[in-house]
Amino acid sequence: MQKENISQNEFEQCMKCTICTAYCPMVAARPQYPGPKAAGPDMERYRLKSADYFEETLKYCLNCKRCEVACPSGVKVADIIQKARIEYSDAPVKLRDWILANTDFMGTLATPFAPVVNVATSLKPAKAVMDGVLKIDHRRTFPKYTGEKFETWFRKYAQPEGLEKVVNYFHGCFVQYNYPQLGKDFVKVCNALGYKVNLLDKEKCCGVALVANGMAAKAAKNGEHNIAAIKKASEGDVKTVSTSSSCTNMIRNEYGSLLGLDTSSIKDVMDLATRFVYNEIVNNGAKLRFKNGVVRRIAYHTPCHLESMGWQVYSIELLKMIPGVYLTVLDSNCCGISGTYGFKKENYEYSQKIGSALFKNIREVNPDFVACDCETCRWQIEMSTGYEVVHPISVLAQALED
Amino acid sequence: MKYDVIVIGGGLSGMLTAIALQSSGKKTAVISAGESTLYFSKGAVKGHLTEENLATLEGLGLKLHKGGFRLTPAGEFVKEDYMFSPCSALESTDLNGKNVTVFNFAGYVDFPTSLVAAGLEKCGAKCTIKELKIAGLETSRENLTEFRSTTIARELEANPALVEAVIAQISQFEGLKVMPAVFYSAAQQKVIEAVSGNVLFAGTLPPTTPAFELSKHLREVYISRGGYIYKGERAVGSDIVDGKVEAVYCERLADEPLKAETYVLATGSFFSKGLVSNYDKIWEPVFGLDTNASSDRKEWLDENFWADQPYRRYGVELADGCKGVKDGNVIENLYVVGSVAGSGSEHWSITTALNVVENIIKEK
Repeated sequence: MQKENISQNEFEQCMKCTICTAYCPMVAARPQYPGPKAAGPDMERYRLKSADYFEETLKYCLNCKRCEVACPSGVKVADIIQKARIEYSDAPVKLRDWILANTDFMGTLATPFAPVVNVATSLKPAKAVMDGVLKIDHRRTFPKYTGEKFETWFRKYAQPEGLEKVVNYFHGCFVQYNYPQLGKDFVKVCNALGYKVNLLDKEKCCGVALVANGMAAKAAKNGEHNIAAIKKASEGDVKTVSTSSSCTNMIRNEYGSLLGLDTSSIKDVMDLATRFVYNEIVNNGAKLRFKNGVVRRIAYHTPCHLESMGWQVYSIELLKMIPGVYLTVLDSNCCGISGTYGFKKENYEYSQKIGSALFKNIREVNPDFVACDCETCRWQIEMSTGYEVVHPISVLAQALED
Repeated sequence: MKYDVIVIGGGLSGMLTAIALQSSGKKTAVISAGESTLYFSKGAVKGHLTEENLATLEGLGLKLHKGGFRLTPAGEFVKEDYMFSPCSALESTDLNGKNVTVFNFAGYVDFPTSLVAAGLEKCGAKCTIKELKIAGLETSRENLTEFRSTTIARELEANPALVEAVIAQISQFEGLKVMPAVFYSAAQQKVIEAVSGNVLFAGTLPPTTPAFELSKHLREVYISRGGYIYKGERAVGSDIVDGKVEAVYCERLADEPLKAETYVLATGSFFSKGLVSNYDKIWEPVFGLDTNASSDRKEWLDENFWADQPYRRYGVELADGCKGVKDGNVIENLYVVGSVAGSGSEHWSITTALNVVENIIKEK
C-alpha cells in the first residue's frame, strides 16, 4: 500500500478550493487564461493520461508563484504549470523570444556598440521596426546596455589588501551587460564586511528567461555548468551570492523543481545578497559604519520570486538598519513584467493592467525612490511610474561611510 | 529574527490575536502557510458575544452585524447570532404570501437558485427566479469553470457601472430580493441603499466573498499597525528547552530561527495542517503538543458518512489560560487559539483569541 504522497509538486494535495485562482493576477487581467487551479493540478491529471490535453494557454502563466504562496495545501501550482510547458509544448521558438531570452548572447553583441544600441533602441523608427517585425512592444522602454561589462571592470579593480574571508559573486546578465554599478556596490559592501569577492569560473546566464521562452534544454545546460562552477568555488563552505532575486530562485529552487537538476551540493552555499549581508551583521557580528544625516523615504517592492522564496524579510530588515531610512513596505502585488513577458507586444496591455495596483500604491506613498531586488521589476516600475528604483545593496553601499 | 510575540497561523483566530497584541504595543509577527479556512466560512458567528467583545472586535477590524436567519445555498435557514456583512440574515422565516425574487448572475454555478427558491417556498414565499445578464461581466465568463464568487466581486468592485446595472435590473421587481453574496462591502452597501434594505444576501459555495474580504481586511489592518506576515511560510519545528519555547523554524527560512518571548499556536485543524495524521497516529507538527485524539484509528471515523465525525472534535490539550501541553507538562510561553484546539467554529476562534490576548497582556 502507498502510505505517503509521492506525486510530483504535491499535485495530489489539491482540494480544488480555488483560492489560488482568486489570487492569480493573470486571471484578473486575462479571462482567457484558465487560472492556476485548472491549468495546474486539474489538467495535470488529464495530461498524465495523454499529452493531447496540453493547452498552449498555459503560456499566459507569469510564473509569479502567487498561487503557491496562497495555497493552503502546499501544492506547487506554478511549478506544475511550468513543468507541463517544458514537457508538452511543441510550439516553435520565435526569433523574438530567442532574442529576449538569450540575455547573455544579446549582451555580448550589444556592449561593444552600447552607445549606438542604446540610442537606436530608444528611437521611434527602431521601435517601430522592433514592434512591427519582432513584436516587441513600441511603448516599452528598452534596457540600456553598458559600454564596459562588469567583469571587465572587476578584473581591473583592486580590492583592499588583507581581506581574509572570501565570497563568490554570481552577478547575472543584468549586472554584467546593463548595470555594472550594482555589482560595484556589492563589492563595496562585501569589502566593508571584510570579504574579498571572487567571480565564478565563467558563470552562465541562470536561464530563467530561457525556461519562460520555451528553451528549457539550453537552460538545463547552463544550469549544469553553473552548479559545477558554484560547487567548485564552494570549497571550505564559501558562499556564492547573487544580487538578483530571480537568479537566486532559479539556481536554488527551479534548477531542481523545473529542470530536474541535482542541486543538493549547492543549496546551502547559494545565497541572496541581502540575506548574506543581514546574517553577517546580525549573526556574525559584522559592523558597518554609516554616514550621518541622510534622510530617505523608501518604498520597498517585493518581487514575486522573492515572495515565493520568503526572503524579502532580509531585504526589508536590512533597509531598516540604515540610519535615516523611513521604510514603507508596499502591498505585495505583481508588477506585471515577469522578465521578458511584458516586452512582448501581445502581452503589453495585460502587463500594465496587472501592474496598475502597484503603480497606484507607489504614487500614493510618493517615496524618494523605490527599493527592489529584481532587475525586471525595476525596468517596469521606472518606466510605468517615473520613480527611480534602487537595489537594497546599492542603498546600503551609498549609505556607507567612505 | 526576534519578536515579543510570534503567532503561528494567519486565519481568523491568529490574525485577531496578532492585531490585538500588535496594537497593544508588542512587536509581533505572523507565520502563515497559505490562505486559511476563513475562505470557507459561512460569514456568520453562532454564539453570544458581550457588547465589550463586539466593541473590541470592531477595533481589531472585525465589525459584526445583526444576526438572524441565514439562507444557505442549499435553501435552508440557519439561526446565527452575528453576520460578517449587513442584510445577510432575516429576522423571521415567516414569509407567508410574500413575493420573493431570487436573482443570479448568468453563468454563475455556485448559487443553486432552484434549491434556494424551494427553501423560500417552504417558508410560504411566492418565488420567482430571475437571471441577471450584466454586459460587462461577459468577458469574465469566457472561463466558465472559474467564474466564481471572487471573480464577480472583483469585476463589480473594479467597475461601478456594473453595480448600477445590477441595481437597475433588480429594482424592477417588488418585494424581497434574494441575491448571492458575491459583493464586496462598498458595492453591497450601494445595492442595500438602492432597494431600501429589502434584500437578502444568501450564501454561495466557497470561496465565500464576505470571508474573503474579511481575510484581506484583517491583513491590511495588521500590516498598517506595523505587523509582519511571513506569507506562504510553514512552521515546521521548534526548540523547547526547560518547558519553554525558544525558537520556531520555518520551511523556507531553513536554519533561521524565529524567536519570541511568547508564542501563539493558531495553525487550524486538519485542512490547514495544524493537525496531521498518517495511518498510525494524529499529531500536532510544530511543537508536538498533546492532543485528545484517540490512539485507535478505528475511533477516528464514524462509518456513517453523514454522522458527526469524531476526528472533527480532535485538537491539542489546553491547560489553564489556553496554554499548550507537551508530554503532560504545561509550556509556559505557548498559548493556543482557534480550531487547532478542537471545534472549527467562528465563535471559538474569536473567543479563544480574545481570551489569550487578555492573558498575554496580563502576564509580566
